[in-house]
Amino acid sequence: MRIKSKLLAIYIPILFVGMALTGYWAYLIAYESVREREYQLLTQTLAFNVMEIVEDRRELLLESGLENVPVFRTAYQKEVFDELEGLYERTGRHFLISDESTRQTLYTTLIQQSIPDTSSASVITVSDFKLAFGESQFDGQDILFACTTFSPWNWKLTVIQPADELQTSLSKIAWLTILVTVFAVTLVALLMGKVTQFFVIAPVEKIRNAASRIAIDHKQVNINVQQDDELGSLARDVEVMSAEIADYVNQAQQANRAKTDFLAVMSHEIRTPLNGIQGLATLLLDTPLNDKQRKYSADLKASASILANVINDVLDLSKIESGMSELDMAEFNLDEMLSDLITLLGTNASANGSRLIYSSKNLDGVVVTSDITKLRQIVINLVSNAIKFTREGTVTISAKLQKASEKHTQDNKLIISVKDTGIGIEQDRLAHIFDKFTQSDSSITRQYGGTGLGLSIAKQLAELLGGDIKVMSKVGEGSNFLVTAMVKSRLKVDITESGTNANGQGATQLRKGINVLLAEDNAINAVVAKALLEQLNCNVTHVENGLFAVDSVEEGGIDMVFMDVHMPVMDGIEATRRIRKLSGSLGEIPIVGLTAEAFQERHIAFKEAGMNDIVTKPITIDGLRNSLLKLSL
Amino acid sequence: MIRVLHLLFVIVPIVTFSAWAKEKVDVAIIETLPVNIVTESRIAFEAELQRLMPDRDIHFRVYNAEGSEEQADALLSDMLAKSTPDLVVSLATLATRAVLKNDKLLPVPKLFMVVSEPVTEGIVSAFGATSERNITGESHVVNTKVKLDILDGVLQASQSGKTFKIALLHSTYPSSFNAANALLAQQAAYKNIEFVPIKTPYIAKEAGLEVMKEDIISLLNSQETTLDGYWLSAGPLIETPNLIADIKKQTGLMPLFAESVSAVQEGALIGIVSQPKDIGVSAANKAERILALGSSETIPVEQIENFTVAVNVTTAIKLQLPIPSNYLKLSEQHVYQ
Repeated sequence: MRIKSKLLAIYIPILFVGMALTGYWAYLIAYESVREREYQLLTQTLAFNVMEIVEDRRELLLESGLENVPVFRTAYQKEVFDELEGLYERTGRHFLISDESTRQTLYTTLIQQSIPDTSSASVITVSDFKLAFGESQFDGQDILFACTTFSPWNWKLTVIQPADELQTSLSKIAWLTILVTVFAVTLVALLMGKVTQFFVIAPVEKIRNAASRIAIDHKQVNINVQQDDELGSLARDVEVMSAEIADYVNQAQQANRAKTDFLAVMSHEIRTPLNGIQGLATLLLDTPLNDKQRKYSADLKASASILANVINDVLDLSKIESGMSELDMAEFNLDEMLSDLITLLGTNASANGSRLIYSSKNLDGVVVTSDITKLRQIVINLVSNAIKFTREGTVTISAKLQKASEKHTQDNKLIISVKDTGIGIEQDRLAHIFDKFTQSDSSITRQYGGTGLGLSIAKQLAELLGGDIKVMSKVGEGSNFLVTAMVKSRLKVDITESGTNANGQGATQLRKGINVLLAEDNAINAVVAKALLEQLNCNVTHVENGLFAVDSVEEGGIDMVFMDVHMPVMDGIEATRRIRKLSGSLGEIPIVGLTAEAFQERHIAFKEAGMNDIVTKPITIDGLRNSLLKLSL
Repeated sequence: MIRVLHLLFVIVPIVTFSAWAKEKVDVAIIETLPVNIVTESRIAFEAELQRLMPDRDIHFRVYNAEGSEEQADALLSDMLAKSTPDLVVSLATLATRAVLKNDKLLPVPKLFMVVSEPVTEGIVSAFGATSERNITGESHVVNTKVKLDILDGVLQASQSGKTFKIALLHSTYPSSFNAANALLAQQAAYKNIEFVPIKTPYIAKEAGLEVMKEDIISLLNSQETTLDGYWLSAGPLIETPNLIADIKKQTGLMPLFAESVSAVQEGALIGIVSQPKDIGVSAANKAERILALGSSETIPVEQIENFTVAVNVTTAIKLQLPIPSNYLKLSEQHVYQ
């Protein structure tokens, strides 16, 4: 309920109660006033009309010396009766004259000849007449009366008025009071609503909108609330707060940029020598070595590989947590991608004495739209983990789409199960299995290796894809990881149109004798890259900076360029731009960036500068091959 | 002493000159008959006019027509032979008739008093109208209907439920005759009243009053109908000395209504009349206006507004006819026993 409605819901009952009490009080006052007025009219009628009529005659008789003349006295008393008859017709009030001694009715305008009970009357004096007045019952009706005596004629004179008129007046007052109360409540509620809207709701709305803008934009706001009260102060405080938030956000963004820059630099700085180590180890293993040397070389390569994985994991996690990990949605054959992965990872499983089993449902002849890289990484992490902890057992990978696909693209849910018969995880550790740098047992790190980031990365990637990862495990029996992800799917019309499968590995072979220009300032990396390219039957020309690279391209005879990004004299980006400005086919020569920077947005920047593809260091022969195949060379 | 003599020598001539300097006004008054109402009205008129016009030297010439129109006409001729007055005032009907008929008086502004029926007399066509004969004045009697209403109210209060047979005493004197005819014409509207007309011929001069009285008594005694009382209408008859006492003595009848306060004092149950003083004062006010305008032509003929109600409670008790309180209250100083 909105605050205005709440306030009105509170105000209206309070107002109604207040107004009703005031109205009731006013009704009581009016009730007493009406009764008072009726009694006043009755007593005044008696004192100023009736008694005047009687007294006038009596005085006239006295003045004329006729008081004791029966014919005159009787005639004048008759005149009194006649005048009271006229008064009754004019006022509607009844008159009754009785003999005070005998209580015999001498005259009455009532039908009944009886005399009402006036014993419970109050007494007042009006114009020297002692009068009694009150309420009584007469002939089954409530009446108001006023009476007095006129001793010279031994008369008791009574004025009677039915209480119906009083009741009618009081009913009118009651209804009027109710109507006025309802009207007043409505009017006051409307006014209070307007006032509340103007003084409270509108400023609160402005402050709320400002707060929303602050939450979305993190910028300083100006709130148009000019009141000099608590809400005005609140508005000013929110403005100050917004300025501080904007400042903090700015600082945080700067810090984040600094962190990103730091990670980029560190990534580059670590990958560059690691590239050399890995490459040299690979090259070393291709040379004639005795067994001991071969073992050392293999361990060296494995260590470098582990270090590269650790660095990749750290960078991935950093990217995910900083929100820089973006989805790169593309359509691909999931079934093929998973089959290839199983084939790739099958070697590791064989080395562990285990075997991989893959099955799928609803995936045959279907293409899905998702981020293939992230999906692949999730599967690799989970399957690698399963293999790692399963010795001489089975790792079963099952993939299915929740519903069968149709010709047109539709939303679907992908469910992948990675079940192993490995060592399993204790129940109390299951809750923390996806925490960073956590493994079920610290001894695992020593025994099985790993950074403890794999599952955390996999889970966060799954969440990025609109899904999640759940795990069920039993110590000694194995574990089952269940991955879900939201995808789009459709029945595949043509398996591949370009002749290139999903993982980019071309079915065609690289042609021999490709003239490659390698621009690399780091001598070791240059040796490694050159050696790897030569293994791919390429003719490699090496230059040490971008400027030489541009010159070399201008000289001609180059089929493509592998361009390191960070180089002295002229970096790879500037060199790429200059090459792209060359005329003719020289300006269109394929350029592949070589970089230790792992962030996707940097890769995009490189491509925007003119590079056709990016190969991330440490350079592997597969990476180079794939890139060359992608460029159809 | 010398100073006082000197002062007297100066003041006395000034005062004397001032008296000589007052403008003289000649007012001729002609009375039909010097009965009470006529004489008293004239005296009140003279006194009030002198009071209203202190800066005029008003000279009143009074003529007595002795109840005769012819006498009045002769007196007017004599008056005009001597001098033409500034104002001619006529009292009562016959003198007024003579004044009205005299063409030589046409240029002279005229004022009448104590005339009960100026419309019937042909002075004006209706009350509120002006006369072409350069005459104006006021009727001194109450409207006939009012008089009948009052008597009917009194009779009604008796609660007897019977119709009162009332002898209507009147003479052939114009005002009396006219008034009686008006009463007879309207009696049908009053269930408590039944008039029995008793008429006597008018005989001029004071001696005629006694003759008329005797005739009336004789007529009353000769009535076969049992009468409850009688009505004494306006005119010279009502001024007859001992009229009421003699009628009561010889017929046992009491007057129920009389157009004279003195008649009520003598025993009439109730009377509503204009007092001579009121008639004279009202006429003097008109005379002042006439003298200021120099003509009566533009002043309308009206009815007098001040009346006196008089009651006699002794008669009321005797007849067991209670006077309603409102009439008793109106009577104020004229409640007689």
